[in-house]
Amino acid sequence: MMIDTFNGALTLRQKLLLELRDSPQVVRRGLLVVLLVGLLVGGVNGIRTAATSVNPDRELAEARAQFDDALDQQAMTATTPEAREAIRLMRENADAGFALVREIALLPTPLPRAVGGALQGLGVFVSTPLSYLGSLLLWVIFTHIAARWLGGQGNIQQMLGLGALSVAPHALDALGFIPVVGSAISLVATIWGLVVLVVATAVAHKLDTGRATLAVCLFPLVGILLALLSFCILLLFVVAAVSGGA
Amino acid sequence: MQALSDLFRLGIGGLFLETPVFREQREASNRMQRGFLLVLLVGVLVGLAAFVGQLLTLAITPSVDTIFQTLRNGLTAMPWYRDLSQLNPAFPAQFDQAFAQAETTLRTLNSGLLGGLAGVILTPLVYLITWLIFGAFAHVVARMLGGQGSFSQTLGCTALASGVNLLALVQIVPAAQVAGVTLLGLLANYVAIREAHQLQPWRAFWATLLGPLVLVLLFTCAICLLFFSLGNILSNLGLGA
Repeated sequence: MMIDTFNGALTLRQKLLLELRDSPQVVRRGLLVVLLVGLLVGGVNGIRTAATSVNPDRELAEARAQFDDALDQQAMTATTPEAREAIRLMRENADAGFALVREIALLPTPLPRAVGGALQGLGVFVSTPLSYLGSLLLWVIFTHIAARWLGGQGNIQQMLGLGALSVAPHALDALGFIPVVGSAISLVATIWGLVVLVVATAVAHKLDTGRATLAVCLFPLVGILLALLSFCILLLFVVAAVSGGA
Repeated sequence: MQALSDLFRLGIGGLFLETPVFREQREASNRMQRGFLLVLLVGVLVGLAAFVGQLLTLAITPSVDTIFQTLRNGLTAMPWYRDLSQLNPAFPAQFDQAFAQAETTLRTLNSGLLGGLAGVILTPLVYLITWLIFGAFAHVVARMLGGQGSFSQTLGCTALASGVNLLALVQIVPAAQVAGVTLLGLLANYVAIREAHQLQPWRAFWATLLGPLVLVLLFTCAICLLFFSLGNILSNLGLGA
């Protein structure tokens, strides 16, 4: 049944969504999809975490390459002698700094390192479904409030159960580790998830697609506008302070 | 055993916001007793899980002494330390003092096994107190908004919301992160108040949210007052700007 719900979510099968809306176990079935996707993605990420914990050299090499790139970029834009001196100091201490991090990562532990690695991987495995749940709840609550304002008829259980299906496309996040295409795949999953959320909102609240889209986007748009407004006000204050000081 | 499985059924029903379970609890004659036992049981389980998780974390982490010793040796062997020591002969003593201070603070924050053991007792206590305070506040607001439920119905139903805390059992695994519990808990409380008082959705929404909002407001006021008093004390001592 869980796989059926998962497939139905991915293909936006209306019959399944309508049947789910009227089920007394709508939240349980929706959250099981979140659990399935979370464990799939968490499994892949957990194995990677376990491997990294046992042998941190590869991750340290990646971090070092990123650090060097960042310093090169800073060096190109450094115009003052102080900035150039700071970059020189960071370059001079980088080797010793990374060696210290490696030494701490490889310090002996009461249980063998492999057990520690496995437990850390397990931590990622069990945390990922909760992490998806946390993000989902925020979206669902705001969408539900907006949908009710716009004349929606659904209750919070229907909204949460159906909205949980929007996590299904995030199964693609399991491929996020692939270089270059990984982030593009995650972007596809996010957009696909938003489409599922719009359809889920329309079904849960018996709204047309236009209103459902507005319900999904209303609070994020208000948030962006408020952030922009705060930024402009802050900028005005800074400009006023600088010109006042001058 | 039957009573225990019944409590778990209630907790799972609360976790998944199942309306029939909330209605059953509202009508049950022993709702207060079941609610109290459920909150207590979930608290004990979460406290124990966190304690086991802490034990496992200690078993896969190097000893704190070794970490601080390695860190100190590493930092004092770096070029910046050597340069500063040459420029300022007093620098090594200043560094030792700052390092010792940071070490003491971090050791205080890291409560270790004793903190974990205290958590086993404190977690159920905190859950019970939160349940009683939130329930009492939500009941008053719900009645003001036209709710019909009794106090025992409010508490009986809001106790089911503690089923959401079962998600925190993942703490048994070291490095596991708990997320979404607060929001899902608020949703479960909303359903509980809606069902206990048979309120309209928007009234149930405000009855659920007013308590936490007032708490946040009081907390913010307390922080502001604290800073204000601290500022006054410092300026009286002549340490202010």
